[in-house]
Amino acid sequence: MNKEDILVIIRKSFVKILEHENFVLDDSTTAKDVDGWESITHLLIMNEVEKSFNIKFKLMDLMSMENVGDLINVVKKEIKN
Amino acid sequence: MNLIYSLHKSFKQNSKNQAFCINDSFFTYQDLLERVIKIRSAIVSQISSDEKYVGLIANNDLETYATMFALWMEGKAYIPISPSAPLTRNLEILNSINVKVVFDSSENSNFSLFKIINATQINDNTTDKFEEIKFNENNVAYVLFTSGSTGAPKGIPISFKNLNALITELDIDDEYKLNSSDRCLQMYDLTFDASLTAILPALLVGACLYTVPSDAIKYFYTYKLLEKYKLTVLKMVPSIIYYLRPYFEEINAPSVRYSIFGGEKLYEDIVKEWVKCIPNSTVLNHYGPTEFTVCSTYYKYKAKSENKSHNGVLSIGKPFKNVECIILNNEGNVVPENNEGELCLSGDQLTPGYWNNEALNTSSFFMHKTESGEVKRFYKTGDLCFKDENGYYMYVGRKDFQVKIGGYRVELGEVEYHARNHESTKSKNILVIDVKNSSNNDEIVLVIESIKFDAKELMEYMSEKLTDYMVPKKVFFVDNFPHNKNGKIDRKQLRDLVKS
Repeated sequence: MNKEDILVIIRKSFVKILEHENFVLDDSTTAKDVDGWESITHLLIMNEVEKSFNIKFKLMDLMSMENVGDLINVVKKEIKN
Repeated sequence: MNLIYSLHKSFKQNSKNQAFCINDSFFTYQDLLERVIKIRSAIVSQISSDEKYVGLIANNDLETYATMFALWMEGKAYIPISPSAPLTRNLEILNSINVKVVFDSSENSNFSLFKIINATQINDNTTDKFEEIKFNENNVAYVLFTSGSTGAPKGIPISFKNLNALITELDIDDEYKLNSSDRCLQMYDLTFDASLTAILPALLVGACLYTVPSDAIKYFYTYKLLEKYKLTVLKMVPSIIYYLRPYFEEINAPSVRYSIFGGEKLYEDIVKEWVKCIPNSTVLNHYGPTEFTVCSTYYKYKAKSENKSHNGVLSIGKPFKNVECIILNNEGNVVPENNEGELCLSGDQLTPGYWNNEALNTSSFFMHKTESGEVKRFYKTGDLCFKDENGYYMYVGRKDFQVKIGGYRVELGEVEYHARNHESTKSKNILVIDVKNSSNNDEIVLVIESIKFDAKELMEYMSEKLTDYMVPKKVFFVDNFPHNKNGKIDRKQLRDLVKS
């Protein structure tokens, strides 16, 4: 799966949890750029991303994610595994 | 125990120990004491002796903690102010107490309407000559503000007598004994009174506190501290483990000696899984309203035998030695064992009363003749409980429309008050309800009886008026509110409606 395809699925997870589409996701997007993406919704979004790709993140990976680019990389890594 | 003298003694005796780890920097008790001395000197020279109440912007730095203790040693109370809360709310709090001076260690202060003292910029070379501690047990130690149903936050002053009573109870309790080599989590904002039971027991024995910045994702940062520094004492709100639950398999923390919860309902099934992550730990469930100085009862979880619980919620245990609990029915009579009623508390931890709020003081506090024949002052907690045949108290729910979000008390009435004040909801029926999110945590949602409209401005308005945890996470539109047989809005049905 290429990066663009991963991003499309990630975006769907964001929309499902945040219930709006008023955001653009790219590598440098952080929680500050997206309405509603905060500490409580963060884990809900991550759980939704896990479900969508049928993967399970490591807690350490989740903690070191700083932006959407990091999230994509972790998804890629987990898909390979 | 006299808290202030004991703290001062501990700072001196443990001068070489680490007292705080803040953003990965360590500070010794000597560092803490030096800051306290400088700040005391500034208090004496810059604040008049009759100014008893001082604002404290709750930043995550040594100066902020040192200011708490310096104010106490000078016989003054701190009013903790969350830097992330809306300014209008913070100003309302400070003005209601008639505060003149605010300690703010921020680079740029938002509180220029007050006299600002920045504790990071006190240039005073005073060394330890100081000065007698000014102690009077009737002085107020802090005033905390919680959500009020009429739209304005309500102030709860806690005296040194109240705090001493709490610390004495913790001290004489054999189940909870910290020592100077403990590494303790401090995840609470200072605006949350549970911060005191994280901070004080640790500092009284010379242990080190590891703080969580207020802008951090608390459950991740807590885990990071746990992993990196092998923490031994974790005092947390239950929602931390509710969020970490999907990752419990990865957590192995044999260093933990105590895992203490408080501030929210603690579910037994999650604790059962959690104890596998902390195999050497005692788990305690603390219970207590802010009005009764943080903690009034606790339950010790039994890893190897059956636990006391009700509807999956772990018991809140038994009261501290000097705390009296009674359960009253609507007529004000004590109910028999295993009968539900409102939990009422009496003892030295009880607040002198709400700040300038006669109506609330009349409705919340009352005199009651106890079994021993003594007439004592009690507080109605608003919590529905029952006591079982073995003397364990079980938490059932709230009597009113107060909910807990991440351990913070939220009056749904206060949220509704602000939602109603916005132009977009004029002449519309609205209701704020609490629902469970997919992590089984409570969250607040706003339901509007109307055809759908863009609620962005409404939500922005609410964010300006309310602290973030009070702002509804979602807005739902319904054609008609469901009503029950008595014509009242059926909240349960409404919850089901928004869930579907």
